[in-house]
Amino acid sequence: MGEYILEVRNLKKYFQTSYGTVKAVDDISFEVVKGTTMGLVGESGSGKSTTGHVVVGLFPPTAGKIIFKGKDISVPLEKRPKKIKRDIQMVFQDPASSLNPKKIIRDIVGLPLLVHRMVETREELEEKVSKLLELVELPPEDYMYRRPGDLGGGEKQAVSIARAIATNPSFVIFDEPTSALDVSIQAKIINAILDIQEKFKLSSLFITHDLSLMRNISSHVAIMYLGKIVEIAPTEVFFQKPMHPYTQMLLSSVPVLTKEEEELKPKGIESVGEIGSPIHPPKGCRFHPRCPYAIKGMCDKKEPMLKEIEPGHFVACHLYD
Amino acid sequence: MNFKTRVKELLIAMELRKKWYRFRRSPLSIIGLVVSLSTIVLAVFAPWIAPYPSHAGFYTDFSNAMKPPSLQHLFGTDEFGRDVFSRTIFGFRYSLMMAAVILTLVVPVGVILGLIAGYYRERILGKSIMALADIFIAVPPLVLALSICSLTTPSAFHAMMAVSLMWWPWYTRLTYNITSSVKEEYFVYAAKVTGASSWHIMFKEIFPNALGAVLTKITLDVGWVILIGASLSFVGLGAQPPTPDLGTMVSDGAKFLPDYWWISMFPALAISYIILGFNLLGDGIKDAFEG
Amino acid sequence: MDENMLLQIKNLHVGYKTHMGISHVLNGVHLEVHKGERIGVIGESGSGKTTTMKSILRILPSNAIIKKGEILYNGKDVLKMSEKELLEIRRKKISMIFQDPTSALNPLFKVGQLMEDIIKYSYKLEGDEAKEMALKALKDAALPDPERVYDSYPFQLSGGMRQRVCIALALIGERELIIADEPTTNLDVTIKAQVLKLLGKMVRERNVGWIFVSQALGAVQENVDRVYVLYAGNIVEWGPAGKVFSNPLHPYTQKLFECVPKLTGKKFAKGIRGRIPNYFSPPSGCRFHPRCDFVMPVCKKELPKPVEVEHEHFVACYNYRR
Repeated sequence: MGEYILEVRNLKKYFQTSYGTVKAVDDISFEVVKGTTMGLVGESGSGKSTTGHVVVGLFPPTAGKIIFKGKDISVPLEKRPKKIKRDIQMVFQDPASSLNPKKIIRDIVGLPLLVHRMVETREELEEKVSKLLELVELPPEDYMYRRPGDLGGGEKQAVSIARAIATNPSFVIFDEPTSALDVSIQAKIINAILDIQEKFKLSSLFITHDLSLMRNISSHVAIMYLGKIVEIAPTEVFFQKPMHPYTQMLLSSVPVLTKEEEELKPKGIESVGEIGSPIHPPKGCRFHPRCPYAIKGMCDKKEPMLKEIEPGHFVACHLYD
Repeated sequence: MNFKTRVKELLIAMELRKKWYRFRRSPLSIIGLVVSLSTIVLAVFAPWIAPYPSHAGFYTDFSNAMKPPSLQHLFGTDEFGRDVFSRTIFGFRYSLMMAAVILTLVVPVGVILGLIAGYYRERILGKSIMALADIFIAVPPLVLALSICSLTTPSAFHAMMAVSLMWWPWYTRLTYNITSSVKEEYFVYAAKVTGASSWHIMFKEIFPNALGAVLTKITLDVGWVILIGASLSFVGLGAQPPTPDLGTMVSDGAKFLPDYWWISMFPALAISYIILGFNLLGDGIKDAFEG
Repeated sequence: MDENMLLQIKNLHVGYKTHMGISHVLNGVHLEVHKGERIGVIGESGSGKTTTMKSILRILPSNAIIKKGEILYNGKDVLKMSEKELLEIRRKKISMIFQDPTSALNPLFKVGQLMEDIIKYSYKLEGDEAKEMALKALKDAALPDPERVYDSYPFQLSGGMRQRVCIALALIGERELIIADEPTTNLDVTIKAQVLKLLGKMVRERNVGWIFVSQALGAVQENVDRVYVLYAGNIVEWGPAGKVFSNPLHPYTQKLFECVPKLTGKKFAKGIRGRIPNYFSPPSGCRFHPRCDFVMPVCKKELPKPVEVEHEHFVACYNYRR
């Protein structure tokens, strides 16, 4: 095991709303090993995006710690040292909202460079931005002075990625960067991300709802359901033996193209019910109302803890007690 | 460098072309543009265009008083024998100048307060700015202006101050609403994550997104400010004689209705002309910035 | 004419008027749906899927121009129908399920009210009879507690339930054709699976024709009989789903399939170079030629004619010329 670049310890994030307290993230812990990618998988309402936003500092955690390179950074963004802000970057989900429609691409990608005083003159800025645009395969002379409105979704997301790596960070959070894109464009963007990760020895947190995509990009996977992590494992181990009933349900719901993929899907489990409310989550195991294997008097009473069932493979489920 | 600058210019030009296309799609916008431009031209070149420029000030020629419209006096003459046409043209000048003064005072203050209030919406700073704005909005605008003007000596200057005082909160409201929604966009998040200052986020990221709406409102407001100014003059609280103010002219001429209809009718039509023009123009600008 | 033919689109050309000129989107689309047949239409955004579907019901935006083509519904051309005939078709025969269930349901009315209105206009039923019909439709759409749903406003329901309500609405009465334009794109993975299963089952049970438009290739493959691949306003390949998915012929289809990330983690393609063409001045000949790895001089000259490569499996590509 290499050293950890990011450790999340008992992280909680609650939001006060007029309906009550939304427990978006409720006591989760995980680590990201330096130089690897952790895939954070879940459906809407699972708290996966909130986790990303809290780690990057957009919202302070309600409780728990975020440790980055051994330093506690669980403070609001304004209080984080500039060096940390330069080192952790994020690519957001919605390409349409990720780029300021009123600015030209040079100024969008160049912003982090200016903020961190990494360039002095306009020529220097343009030179650096050109290099960044080349990394994401956008010919600089065509794109530099255009506005986001003229760009397709994939091109916008490529610009977002260029902006995120402008300051040469060591950790990037990708929050569903391709969920709004067509498959052929998704393929381009994912390949660009993979290249950049390799070139810059980037560590990352890759948030997605797409298990097929996750398999192609991350070395570890954490599955979230209603604010909790239900299963963590190295990707290969995970696909050999998905253990949590929710994970199995999720996997069985993935539409696939080929026979080999069909064989990976767990048999005998079928998607039923809907995700519960994060304001009043079900008692005990949060998945028990949808779980075909729920044990009466156990799963609806006691909350299961994450336990290491086999080396590196953690599951929170009473079936494995 | 040279090539790049050229590309840049081209792209900026394209953006303008797009806006111009959206603008000219509606013939009403073109009418608005023509009408507003014509008032501006008339206002700027009033001394050269008006057939009797001296009639704008103290001038009496009782032998020519109360003459109906004729070739010499297109809009007729008033009770002092002054050419209503010349005075109307000078009236444009005065009205537009008043609108310009008021809006230059009001817009920057209103917009900056709105940006701050929207950006710090959850904090006491933002809440108090909006509370203050709401108080001013709650008072009926004309009543506020009337009471301020009646407390002081009636003059054009006091009228402008009064209108400004009641006008800024609308810009604060507008910018506040835009800011509070734009600040939740991911590009603002991205700027925060990278460590950009609040100043940068407010003025460089958010403000350009409010610009279109602010420009539209300014254009629409030119008409309204003129109307309110004219109303104040009409009740005698604005510009004082012999300033060729359209509102004053309407109120003075009203005494002679209906027999000497031209004295008040033409200034009244002129007010409608300005308001119509700037309103249509405002709609066009809105179209140009949206979509 | 084929007795079993429900819908037949022939050589449809549709464009849009914009400030930059006319955008020539559909460039001779053809499509056939037999009675009770399940058809998949695959295409990426901007390929003209939605334009095609909207043409069928003639609900295109006002700046659209239908340049030529025919849309035969039970042998009658929709494009030549009177408003009255169209209304009859929209009310009773064809219904559409949209991508976004939230905007498809008027938030001011309860679900029951929405359904009864449709029943009133389509079947002239009111009161208890209408309610009964609505409740049955909700029950058929596997909505738990139909009475409660009937009395709810759309915002009180989850996304998945809203889409089920839309399905219930679409399948009220005796429909002949359901057009579903990306019906599950906005839903979660597990809910998507549930909704698609329901839709597939209902369509099969009632022997209704179904056009399933989607980019989710896996979902299309699991649910349809025949599939059409749409690229830049042209159908480039069509045939029985099994054949198209196991043996894609057109270079675009092949590339597209390679781009889909696989659950097995096998490396996927680098994407397709270039982008969907500009419809103001689309490429001559085969519209895919600027992005194609197998391009030949002839591809730039003329639109390729379809070739039947295996039984009922057609492709429009010069590489398969005999």
